[in-house]
Amino acid sequence: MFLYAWLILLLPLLGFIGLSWYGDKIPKKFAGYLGCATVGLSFLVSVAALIDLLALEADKRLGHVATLYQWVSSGTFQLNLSILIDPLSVFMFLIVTGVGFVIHVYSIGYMDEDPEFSRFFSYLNLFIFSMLLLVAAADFFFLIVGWAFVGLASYLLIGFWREKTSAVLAARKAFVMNVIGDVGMVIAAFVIFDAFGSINFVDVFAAAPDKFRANDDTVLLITLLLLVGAFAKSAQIPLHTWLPDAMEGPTPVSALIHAATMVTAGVYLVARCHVLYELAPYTMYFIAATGVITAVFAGSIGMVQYDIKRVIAYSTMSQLGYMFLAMGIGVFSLGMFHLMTHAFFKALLFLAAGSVIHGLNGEQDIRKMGGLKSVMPLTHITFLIGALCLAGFPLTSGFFSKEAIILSSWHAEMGNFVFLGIAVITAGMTAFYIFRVYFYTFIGKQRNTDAHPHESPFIMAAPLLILSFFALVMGFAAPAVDAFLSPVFGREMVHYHDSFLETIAVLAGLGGIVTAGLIYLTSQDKLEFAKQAFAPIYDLVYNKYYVDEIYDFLIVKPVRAIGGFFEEKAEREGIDRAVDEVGAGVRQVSYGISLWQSGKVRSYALNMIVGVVTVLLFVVFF
Amino acid sequence: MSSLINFDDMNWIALAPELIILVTALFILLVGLNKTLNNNRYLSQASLLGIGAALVCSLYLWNMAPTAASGTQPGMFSNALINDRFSQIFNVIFLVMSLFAVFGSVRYPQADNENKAEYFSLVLLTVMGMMFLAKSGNLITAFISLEIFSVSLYILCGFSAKHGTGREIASDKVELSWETLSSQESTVKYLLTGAFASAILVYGMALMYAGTGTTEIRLIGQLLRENPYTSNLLVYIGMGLMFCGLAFKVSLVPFHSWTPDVYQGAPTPITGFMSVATKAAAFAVIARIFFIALPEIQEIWMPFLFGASVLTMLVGNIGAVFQDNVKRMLAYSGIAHAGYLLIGIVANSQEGMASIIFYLAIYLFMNIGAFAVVFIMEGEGQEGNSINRFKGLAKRSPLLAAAMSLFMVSLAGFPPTAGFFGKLYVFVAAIKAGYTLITILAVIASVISVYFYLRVIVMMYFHEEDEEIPFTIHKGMGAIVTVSTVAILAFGLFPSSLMQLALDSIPF
Repeated sequence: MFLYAWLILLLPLLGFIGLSWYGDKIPKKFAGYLGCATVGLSFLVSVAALIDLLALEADKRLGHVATLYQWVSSGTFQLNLSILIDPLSVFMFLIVTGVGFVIHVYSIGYMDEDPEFSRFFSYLNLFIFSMLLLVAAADFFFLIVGWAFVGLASYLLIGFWREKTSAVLAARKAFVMNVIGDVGMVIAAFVIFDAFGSINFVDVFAAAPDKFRANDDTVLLITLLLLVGAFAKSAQIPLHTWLPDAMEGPTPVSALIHAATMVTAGVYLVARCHVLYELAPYTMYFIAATGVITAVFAGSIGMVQYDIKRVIAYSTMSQLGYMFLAMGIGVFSLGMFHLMTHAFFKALLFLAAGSVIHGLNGEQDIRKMGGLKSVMPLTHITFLIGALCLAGFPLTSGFFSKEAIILSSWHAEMGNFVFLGIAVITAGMTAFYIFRVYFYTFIGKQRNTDAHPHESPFIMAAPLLILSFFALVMGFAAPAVDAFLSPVFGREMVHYHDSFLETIAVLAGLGGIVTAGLIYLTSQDKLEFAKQAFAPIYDLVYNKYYVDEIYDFLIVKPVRAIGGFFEEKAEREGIDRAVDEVGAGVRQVSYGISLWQSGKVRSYALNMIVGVVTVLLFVVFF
Repeated sequence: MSSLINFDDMNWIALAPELIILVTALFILLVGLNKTLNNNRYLSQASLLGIGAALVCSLYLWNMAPTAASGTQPGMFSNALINDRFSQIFNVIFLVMSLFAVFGSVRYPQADNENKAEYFSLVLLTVMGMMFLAKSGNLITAFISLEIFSVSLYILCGFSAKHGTGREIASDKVELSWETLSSQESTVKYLLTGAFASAILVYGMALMYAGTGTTEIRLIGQLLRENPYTSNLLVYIGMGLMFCGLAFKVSLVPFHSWTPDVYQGAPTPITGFMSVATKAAAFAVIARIFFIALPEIQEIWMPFLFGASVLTMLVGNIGAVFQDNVKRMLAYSGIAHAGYLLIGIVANSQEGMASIIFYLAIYLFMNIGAFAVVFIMEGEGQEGNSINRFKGLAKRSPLLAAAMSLFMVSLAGFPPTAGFFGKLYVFVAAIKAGYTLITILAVIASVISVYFYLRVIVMMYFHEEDEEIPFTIHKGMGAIVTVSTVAILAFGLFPSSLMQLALDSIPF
């Protein structure tokens, strides 16, 4: 009955194909509108799917597989071209297409002067299609296909400004990190097929609880391998280094990929495979631990960065850490809820930051900004809203989702004091760094007097307003979201009430804001003093804990050295030579066959006689 | 066995496609006497009409044919012919193939050649022979049908000859062109080696009769199953010799030597036609003989079929590496594909049979598509089919280059083209039957094949052209390339429906 849901995927795909082929031939305006229209229509179809799903009884909403046809059937391996429609996938459809559409519209304004306007929109459509394929897949095969396509699309978009070396390098880094994840996923799929004889979600998840007891080796292996993919896409330690670099892409890309959609793929994966993860409590602990560590790690780095987009990028990492924390302690629907609110306010923050960058003609260093409050009032207000949401200011959407996760990190069955402590500290850090950016950028005097900032055009402002609205109110949708998603996870979300913890969480957020205000609004001297006093720590954090350098030292350099050695010995002397020899051998044999082909009929007849005699010998003597 | 003529099982309706083709062939031969009607246009239209009608009949008859489930007897004409879905689906393959051959014959026979009617009528007679071959239920019918199409093909291979058009007195002393020489060489080589192979084949059939007392294919199978005394050395030797004779037709190593020479010299549309149709016809009868008549003595024939398959794949693919002539390269590639197809026989299972049908249906499109492009790019003289002519094609004709790339990639067996699924189903059938080793060897062989298939793509996309090579894409050729491209993509996306069709069409 959900066959029409294929339109959700097909529309952006058609947009991608059309724009790639004819993008140069149609007027620029039209290319932008076309790109938006496909995603917009896709959103409307998603809404239709939502309505149809809501019309069903809550327990009948699961496992609707819309199959186009059977693609491959070979032995026990069956592969259908099908998508899975259930509350979780529709939820993701709505976020991807909804936020995606708004960002598409914004891009019309932001990329207005780019000579390769239509190429940008064709990539954006490709990205949306890939992400939708990822969340719509009804089996691990198409999940991986979508997964890989998302990697490709992000590579194309991060490196969109291909004349910029740093952008190309960042794109490459992102691609490599993502491929590491892909490898994990592919191996996981093999293990799953081996264990279950199927790669369909419905079959696998139905069979899993009866087949394996908790913490069975196979389940642990599968869940950990899947995690490699999830962590790579969602930029969790240790596969996170690509995300900050990915800010080299145009800002709408950062908003779309590195805030609202792509990075949430990992969270989605854990949610989708929650049946497997529930069978692997060890993995769950591991997820939660990685989540909190990433949260505080990225949060602390965010406090000292000066690039406006990098700060937001680290905050994305940090917030993803919260989502993984929620997944790890088993409050899946809370994680998904935070994913949704985060999608709104993070897209908002990125787009507002983009508006600032656009207004300042490409300036990204917050030390050179300031006083934009009066010049860019709309951007200011919307950024402030985004910042408040991110900081968890009471009654904003971020407040509801983050608060709930913090409470669960103590009250949930798997919660503990460490999780709670780090989650609260991170909440404080979050508020601090985002308001640090806010004060730097919008308050005070304009530091760079050469710049002539201007407010962005309406086509960029409108998306900001839409996102602000949702960022502000979506927190109140918590019960609805919970009711919608709970059938998927088979459990009601428990609402913990603990006014003490709530107060602490709120205070942490407010404390962060106030601290940022005290430091950055009063005098720069204190700041310098603080930097001096904590110089070692400051340097450590400012340099992102030297993770890139550690990787360079621990992995890249040794690999290079080993690689150099192997290139010399194994590659040139061994493999290359072997390949060359085999190639030469094949050519030699081929040459021999040519010689054998004498062109003389009598020798052909001789060949046949040899053949006949051989066959007869076989027949008679065997 | 009664020698009386049995009038009850003369199912003329089941022979409708064959009869239509025969009538068309004779009609064209007569029409050719009229000078005004004796031109490519009229003759090809008449052929197309006949082929189209036969095609419709075959599709209809496929639906009506007796199946194992329906319980009706497939034998007719005293079991000399068999009417089942297997034969009808092969009819479809032959007819589609001949459709392409007629479409492709835009330059052949040449304008100065007067034997146009003979050309088209021979194409049709070839097809008719193949259709009877796929239907034969008796070794004698099989042999006669085989000779009908072989003799027609011997003549067709020599059709590049521009001279010697039947005039009694040579007007002038003529310089024979390279094409003429190589085409004549092709005919003679094919004829000589073919006669040799036919002799071996018919001797094998005679020994088979001596061993079992019958030439009926289904009866042989029944006797071998029920009567242990039938399983004797005469049968084994007869089987071995029959295999050798048929191996020549599908060009299995070491019976393959004629293939590159004949393929190279023959007119390109005929090469394309015979590369698929001959293979399909011979595999139809191989499948019938080994799957219906001889499954009981599997352990006797398995070793040399296995060996021939492996040898064929390796020699075919390795031999192609060295070729700079595209037609010769495709000839070697055709040899290799015969090796893959033989795996389906080795599997000796229903799935194996179905995978052969599937593979042939796919191979038809990718091979004829490749030959069509070769034909379009063809030049004159010894270098007329050199791979260097493909240099820089991507710039001059992106669509043609893209289509050729698709054919090459599909022949190499890359997913998600149809060629991948062709190989996949054959390999799966072999693995299920327990022949993992042959699958591994086949995969190694196809890895080698990637080299020369991709070489064409490299030439088209990564080389600058040496000189401007003029070419025209004739309508008929364009149609072949387009249809083949669509078919390869469609069967790549929807392989299971075709496989289901193949599974419904296995012989019984």
